Amino acid sequence: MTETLRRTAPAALRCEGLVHVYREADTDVAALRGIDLVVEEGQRIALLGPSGSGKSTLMAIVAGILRPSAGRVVVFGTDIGRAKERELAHVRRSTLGLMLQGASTNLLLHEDSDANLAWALRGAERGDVRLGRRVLRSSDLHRDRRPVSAMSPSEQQIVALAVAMAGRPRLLVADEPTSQLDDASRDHLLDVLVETASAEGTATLIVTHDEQVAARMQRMIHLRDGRIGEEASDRGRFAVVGADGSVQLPAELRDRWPAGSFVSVAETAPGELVLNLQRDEVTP
Amino acid sequence: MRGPFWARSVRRRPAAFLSLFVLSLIAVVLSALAPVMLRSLEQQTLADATGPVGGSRTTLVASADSGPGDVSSGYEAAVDALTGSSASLWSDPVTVSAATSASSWEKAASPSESGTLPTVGLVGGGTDCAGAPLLEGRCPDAVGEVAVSREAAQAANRDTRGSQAGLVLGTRLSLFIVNDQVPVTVVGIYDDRPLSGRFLSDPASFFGVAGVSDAPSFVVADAQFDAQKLEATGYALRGLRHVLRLDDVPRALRDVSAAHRATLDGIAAISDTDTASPLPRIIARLGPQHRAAEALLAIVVVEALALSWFAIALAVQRIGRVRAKEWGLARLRGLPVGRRIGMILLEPGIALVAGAVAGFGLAVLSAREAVHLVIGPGAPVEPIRPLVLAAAGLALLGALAALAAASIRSARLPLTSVLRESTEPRTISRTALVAQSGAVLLTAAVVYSLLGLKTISGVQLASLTPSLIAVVAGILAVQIAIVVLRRMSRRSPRSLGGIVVGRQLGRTPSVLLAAVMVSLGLSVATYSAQVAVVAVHLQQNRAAASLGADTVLTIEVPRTVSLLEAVRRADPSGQVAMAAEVSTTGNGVGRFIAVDTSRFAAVSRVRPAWLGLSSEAFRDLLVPKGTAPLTAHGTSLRLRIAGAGVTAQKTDPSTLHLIAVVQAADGWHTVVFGTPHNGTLVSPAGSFPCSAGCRVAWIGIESALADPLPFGYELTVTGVSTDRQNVSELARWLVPSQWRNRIGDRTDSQQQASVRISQGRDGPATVTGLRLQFSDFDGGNTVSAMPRDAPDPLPALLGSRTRVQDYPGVPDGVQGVAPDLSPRVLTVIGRARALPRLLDTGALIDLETASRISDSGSRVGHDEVWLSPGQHPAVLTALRSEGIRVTAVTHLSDVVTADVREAHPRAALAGLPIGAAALLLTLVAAAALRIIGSAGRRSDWQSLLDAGISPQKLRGLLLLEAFTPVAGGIVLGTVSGLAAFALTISRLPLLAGDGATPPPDFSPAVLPLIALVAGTLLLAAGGSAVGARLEVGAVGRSSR
Repeated sequence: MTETLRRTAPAALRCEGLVHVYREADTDVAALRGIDLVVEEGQRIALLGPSGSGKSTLMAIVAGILRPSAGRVVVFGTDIGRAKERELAHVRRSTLGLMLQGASTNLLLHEDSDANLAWALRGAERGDVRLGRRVLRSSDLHRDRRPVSAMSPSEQQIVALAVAMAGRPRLLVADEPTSQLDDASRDHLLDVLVETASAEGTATLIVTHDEQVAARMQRMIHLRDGRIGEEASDRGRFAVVGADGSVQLPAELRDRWPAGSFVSVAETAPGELVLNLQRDEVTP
Repeated sequence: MRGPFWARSVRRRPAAFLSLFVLSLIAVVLSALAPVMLRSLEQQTLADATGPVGGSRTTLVASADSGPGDVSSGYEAAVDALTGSSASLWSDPVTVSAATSASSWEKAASPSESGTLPTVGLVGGGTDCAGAPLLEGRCPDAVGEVAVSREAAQAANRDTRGSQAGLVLGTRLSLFIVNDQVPVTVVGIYDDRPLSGRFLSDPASFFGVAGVSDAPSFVVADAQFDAQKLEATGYALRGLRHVLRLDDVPRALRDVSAAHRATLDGIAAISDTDTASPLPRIIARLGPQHRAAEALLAIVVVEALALSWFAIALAVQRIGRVRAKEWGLARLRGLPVGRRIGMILLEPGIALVAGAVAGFGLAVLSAREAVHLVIGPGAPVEPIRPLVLAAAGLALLGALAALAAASIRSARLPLTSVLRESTEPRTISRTALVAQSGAVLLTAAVVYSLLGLKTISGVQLASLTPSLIAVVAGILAVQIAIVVLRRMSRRSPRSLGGIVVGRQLGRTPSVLLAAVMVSLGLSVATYSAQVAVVAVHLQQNRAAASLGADTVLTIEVPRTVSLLEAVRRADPSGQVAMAAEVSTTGNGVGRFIAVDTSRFAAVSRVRPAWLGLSSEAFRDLLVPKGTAPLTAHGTSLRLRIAGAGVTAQKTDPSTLHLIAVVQAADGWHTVVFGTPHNGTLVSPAGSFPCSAGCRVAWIGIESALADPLPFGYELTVTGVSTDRQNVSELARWLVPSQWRNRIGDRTDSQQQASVRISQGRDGPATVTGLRLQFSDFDGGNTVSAMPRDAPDPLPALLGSRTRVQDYPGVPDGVQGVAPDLSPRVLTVIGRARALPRLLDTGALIDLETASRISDSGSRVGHDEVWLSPGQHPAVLTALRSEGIRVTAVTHLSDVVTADVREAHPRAALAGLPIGAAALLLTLVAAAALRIIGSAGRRSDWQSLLDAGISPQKLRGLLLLEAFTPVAGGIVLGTVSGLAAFALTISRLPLLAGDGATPPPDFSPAVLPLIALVAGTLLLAAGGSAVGARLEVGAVGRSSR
């Protein structure tokens, strides 16, 4: 049993049986097929996975941008999936800090960093401009009066982080914050992010392709085909048993254990399972 | 950039802010000026209708009869009846009196030899004489003094052929008052032409007193009335102190009613007291005009307002798309809905409020100029009233509501769409579907109800017809365009233009909505322009009908000159001048216009079609073919009679007189032969003044008895001769087929009097002659025969509302009068909506025909010469050489100007600038929408430039992209405006009276339409070209 479902205490984020289906024309596409996930307060988690694995969908649901088709997503006690617009707005301004994919999506490009901070703090309950400025100062951007559009991508991401953190969120959700950055810039951003989040005790959920980025987080959760496949942390790398009892094979075994293979499962000792591939048996 | 966020946003997108500012400004200016304009229009028409202060139409008059020698009693009773009237509204009463009986006069120094003296009405100056327009001298203030009219003085001077013996100050006159000859001295000469005396209750009479004589009155001192013990009517008059204001109308009407009640209740202690004021009639006539003006203005103003709101909503929607990311981010950061909407509303709200304030200020500042420009210089401008504030507030509220609706829509866009910056919905929303379906249903309902309406009076739903038609046409066109463009976009494009323009339009339906807006603007402009053109055109036609020709000369013709012949001689071509005789003072067929029908079509501005007849039918019906006139020349007429004798018992031949009436240039002359008998009858000396030739009008017998008895008499005229023509030369007189029984002035429809005309016989031997058998079972008629050179009854074309009494026994015969006002039977050849000069009441007859059946020398109408357009100095000179004197000249342009000052055309004309403003508004909005959206598309254009498209080519593409939907909107709007025009024009209250006009011509005006469409297309193309140049330039600058 992994840490994901081990605790039931109040968490920064709790996802239970989360399912999301996109309806495109006449076709339904399941992006999430039952996600169970718990993020504790102050914890930093990286969501990894190939394109189409459901990372961004999960993030959009956590941010309240999308409503789940089934299941629950609870942020600090608020069921985001069922929350009314007013409650959602309250969670966004009091609890959530969002960095959507692409710095420009998060910012008013024609404004400078200060104006973006001020814009982000409209209506914020706890934030003040000092935290955002501190983030900017870390990159020496606090006196920069250029419009954001004139800044480099890495500078724009720093501003986006400053904006996301300005409201002193309790949960920071960031989608591919380093995707357009070179290594040095990436590392700098992560340094700032980790430092700020640690200092503020902010739980962090980062979506990334980059193992280097994920490595800076406390937990790394791999999504595959809309499910959590495995999780890695400083205690090791584990497959995750789903709510329906399913367990995904490690990626490196998949070629040898093709889909539809018949497997016998036997518990040889408490906490130990033995899988036997029945080579002559496959589903029709 | 520093300052508050909204201010920075304004600086960043000034076009968005400015466009909303301007749209709001135009909406408020329109709505604030509309009531000011309407108020001024109504006030001006009221002022025009009631005339100048103290003038002819703003008076309240009471009259009371006074006893002989007691003028003051009449004054007192009349003044008493008016004491209840408002002192602030009406002037202090002035008085004047008029003698009940006519008087006559002659100059003491040169008594008349003919025994016929000019009659005159006597007016006692009362307190009003001081206000009379005296040209010379003073008012009479003592017995023996008189003030005469200029016309009387001039006439008297003419009679004396320029000698100094005419009427001047100091001339001594003899006034014949009842049975007294009273010597008086002329102490004053007043101007009777402008009719501008203070005491004018009836424009047709001087000093407001219904005259006992046609001639202008002589003014004497009241003491003269008392001295001669004259019975008189005393008048008291109160004129309006100021131009009558609309607000004062109820009070003025109450005063008129109160004065009338005072008369009825006997407050005035004397009997035979009455009050009169034309005010109630004027106000009643103005009421429909004002309601019509309200309806006409409302149509355009309401639509212009709705259009401005639509434009504002579109602009806000477009701004919403441009700023969607800002608002999306605010949502992402958790701003409450209220604050988000507030944030969205703030900047455009400031623009709209600022625009409204500026618009209101502009409306206030420009109200005077706008009113003077649209309604006319000097038109009154009412102070700003709550209504104007309310109208401006309504415009602002509408604008804010449009803003709120569009903002809420923007605030509710899906966050995923906002963040992807793909906010243009490709499918129609449920709300839009409901709204569009509602618009279609509403249009259907409005059109259906419109078809059942006779007239649009007031602000009705039908007022929205032009807009609704344009909206529905726009909805259908947009849906079709979207389908077509999307289908095109699926095909492989044939050109770059197809890619850029077709696909861009296909994926952004909002651009097509802008086209709908342009279509609305052009629809309103087209509609208002066409309505204004038709309104003015109708008034021009009405003016043409009310005057008759391009120029009308009022003339005086010497008695010895035939008007008809003189004008024909002056203009031998028959294309320039036409003689006419008009009497507009009578009622029914008493009002007539006699024209020279041989020239009418060429000279008159009245089209024969207005009369319901072709040119040929008009002439043929009014002038039926007849025989040649029977004429004679000489100074003595002889009739050889045979076979004379009574044909009825109790007939005393000695009481009968044989009479012949002949027509000379100066009128008819009666030749009384006395008692008929066999032998030769000779005309009395001087009774046959026919040296220059005469036409015989009729021959008949009259009874000389005071109490006539029935009679029957026959005779045979066996020869007619004069001192210059023998019997054979006048042989045609004796042919029976040349004669007919004459109805003449007989009004008995029982046909009790008649003459039988046959070949004459004398005893057993047949003799050649004209046998006339006269019989009158009543005895009081003139039994006569007339030549067949003129019709009897007289053919007449009647106005549509002419009341007539049938004359039994004569097909289409009605009882009427001739130009000499003698009774005549008329044959009705048709009825016209509008006769020249008379409009819907009266009769049009042929002048030459009329002069053959009535005495042109006794006519009561006045003579005129009508002229075709242009200067005709030779004709005028020729007229003068005939002895004709022109006393007044009226040009059609003057009448048109006066007619166009009525409320209907004024309102239609006032709609013109409003329609133009609506069009301007849509073009401004279309340009603004383009500018607002262009920033977001620069990257696309940069890509095209990067792909190797030349800037010139890109400019062409952008021009095409901007111009195509606008051009589509222009075409659609033109068609919609014309459709609405066709649907409503016959129901618009454009005419003052239902029947008193020429048949209305509702065909659309092509030239203004072409000018409007071409001008708008040019403007749109020019704007699109400039915009494309600026856009490409901006792309170039941003890339550097």
